[in-house]
Amino acid sequence: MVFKLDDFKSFQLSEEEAASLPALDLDGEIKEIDPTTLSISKKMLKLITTGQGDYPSRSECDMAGMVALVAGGCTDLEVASVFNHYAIGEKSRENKNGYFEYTLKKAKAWVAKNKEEEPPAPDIPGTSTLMPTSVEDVKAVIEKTFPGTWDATEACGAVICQRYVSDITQPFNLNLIGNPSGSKTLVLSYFYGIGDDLVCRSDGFTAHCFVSHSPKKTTKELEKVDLLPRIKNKCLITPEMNSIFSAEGDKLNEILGIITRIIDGEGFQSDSGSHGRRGYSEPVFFTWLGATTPPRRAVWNLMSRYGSKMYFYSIPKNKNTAEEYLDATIAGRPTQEKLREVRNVMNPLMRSFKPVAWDKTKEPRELYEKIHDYASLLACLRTSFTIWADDDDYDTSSVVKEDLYRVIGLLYNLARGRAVLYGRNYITEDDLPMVLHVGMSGAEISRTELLRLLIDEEELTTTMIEEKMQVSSPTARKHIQSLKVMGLADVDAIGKSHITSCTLKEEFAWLKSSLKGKLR
Amino acid sequence: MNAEKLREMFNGSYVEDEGPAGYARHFLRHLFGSHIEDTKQFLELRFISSNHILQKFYGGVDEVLRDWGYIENLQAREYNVHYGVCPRVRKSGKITDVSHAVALWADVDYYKGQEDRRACFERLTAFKPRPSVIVSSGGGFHCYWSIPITEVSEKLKNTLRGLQRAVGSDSVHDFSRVMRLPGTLNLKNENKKEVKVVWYSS
Repeated sequence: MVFKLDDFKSFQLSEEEAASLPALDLDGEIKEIDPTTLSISKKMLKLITTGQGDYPSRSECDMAGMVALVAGGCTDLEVASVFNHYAIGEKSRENKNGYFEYTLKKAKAWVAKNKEEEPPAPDIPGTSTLMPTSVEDVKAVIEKTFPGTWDATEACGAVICQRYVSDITQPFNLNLIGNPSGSKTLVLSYFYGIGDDLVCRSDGFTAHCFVSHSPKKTTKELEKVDLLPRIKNKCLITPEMNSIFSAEGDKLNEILGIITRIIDGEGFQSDSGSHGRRGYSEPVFFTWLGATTPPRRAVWNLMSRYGSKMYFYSIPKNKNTAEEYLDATIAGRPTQEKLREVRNVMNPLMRSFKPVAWDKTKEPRELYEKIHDYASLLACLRTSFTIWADDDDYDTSSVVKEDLYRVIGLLYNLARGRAVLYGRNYITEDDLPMVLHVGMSGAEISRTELLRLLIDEEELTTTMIEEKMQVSSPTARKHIQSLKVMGLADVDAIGKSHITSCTLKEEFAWLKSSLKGKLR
Repeated sequence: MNAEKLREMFNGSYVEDEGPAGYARHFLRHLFGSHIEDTKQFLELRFISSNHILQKFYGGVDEVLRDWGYIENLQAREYNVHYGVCPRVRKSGKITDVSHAVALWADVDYYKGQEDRRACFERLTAFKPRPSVIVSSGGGFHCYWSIPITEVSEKLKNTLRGLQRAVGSDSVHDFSRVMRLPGTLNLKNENKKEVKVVWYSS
């Protein structure tokens, strides 16, 4: 039914009546905006959250805050929300007869007038100062303070940034692998301060804490204990994954089973004698960064059999000279000071992203084909099999290779996370070396080392393997047989007693041609 | 509201199989007609989470349907979905971006007062003039009175304010106002509630 305006004539307020009513509803739809997400200076952020600043009166304090918000591009409702929920709005909440509207009007007029004068004077109360948000800024600081850690940092950033791509619903787990004290935890610590709404850090961690069944607590209490609901839409950071990977036998099996289900992203439900069925059936999106020393072969094998959803990023060994070590440790600046410098640029960067609508039209199909190649490579590297000597030859059994469907999707999501980190809503060629490195890191070190040798050499012989990997002749021959079983190399014949060789399979020739030298 | 009533409401074009997306589209079509497409204006959807706001602008009601996957993904990330009650002349949601209104509206929260949900609903359906559409927003009712396309003015604003005061609405008279979109979920509290049409005055 369509009314005529005259039907509402009796409701029309006179100008006097209208002026006596509040103009905006401070109890409106927007609830508690996080002011750290707004484009305002730290000084103004403090003013908003504490209500205290260098101003002689509350009115001037309100005016300064409002000017900053308006200049920072906030809508009326956002300003209203800030004044409704934070200390700065105390006076406007006490005084509902148009004080808020009057101040907002004045602030808008002030901003409109001062916009024409470029640049705005920095010491005028309330002038908005945009925080540094460029990824290049962060890269420069990290390369200066902790050289050699940027690539891994970028990979971690790409994982966290997946939350901003609206159609990514699959959780992603990436673990930094490196030697003890090899900067793994350091890289993760760059992200500790970016905000509780973005990351959830857990230094002590077991697989059972996702959904707890502790008999010492009531079911109600367990709801507060469960980790799974607390990491929804966040990045879980667990700097100590060794406790997971060092488990043995059935325990390891159980742990990896739980983790696999959790990373499936479809929630998790489990049963126990003390609490019956507990858990969460709704999909839970999260990302997960961990750090570990290289896992044992048994762990890799088991992960392969689970169709592992865990991805790895190997941090290259430090090749610093003694002088460089001393400069970086004893003679250089304290680590905490350098870490503070990194966080000062990292925090605003990671808080500056907003959800993006993905634009696949800008992505050439060749990029997808490359991601498919990387996924094939990873699947080959993660092949699970048993190998043994059989008379004059080697034999294998129980060969299990995972399907590519999920791997492709997850590697694509990782590339998209990197694209977001660099301010794009589409992937480019630049995003792929990191993805390839993840592909190359997804298996035990002996396998990835073998692959690197195979890429570097036209023809890989057992003698070369013996020399470069410092292994015996039978082990070198076994390695070559492994390459064959994984589907990475062509081998003519393998015997226990004679030297043999292998070449990279044709389908992986792209590793030699297009990406040789670009590997991280 | 049963399917029969909805079919009537949407001039027989309501199709149950279209699910929430179809529900939203038909509601928007009912409210805006073809005004957005005809005048090349924009329909604003505003996605509001506890710490972030995202705006998206559509050149037509049907575009919303095509983008429903995106909308559902944002809902899964706990974004509440709102739409601009007045069309926008450009891709911006400020008050200066509104030139015309197609309805008058009110937002009545029953949880604030002594009134329970049923009493509130009965009062609204008895109100004169009776709203064209009443939407259950999860915490109250949104009322809409369809009007011919009218240029926004101080006079219209004062009429809207007076109407809202008379019906016991919150003060939501700014022309840049966004309201919850039927067919989506109100995620304000732990108990998610459907935003749905509960009354249509034929």
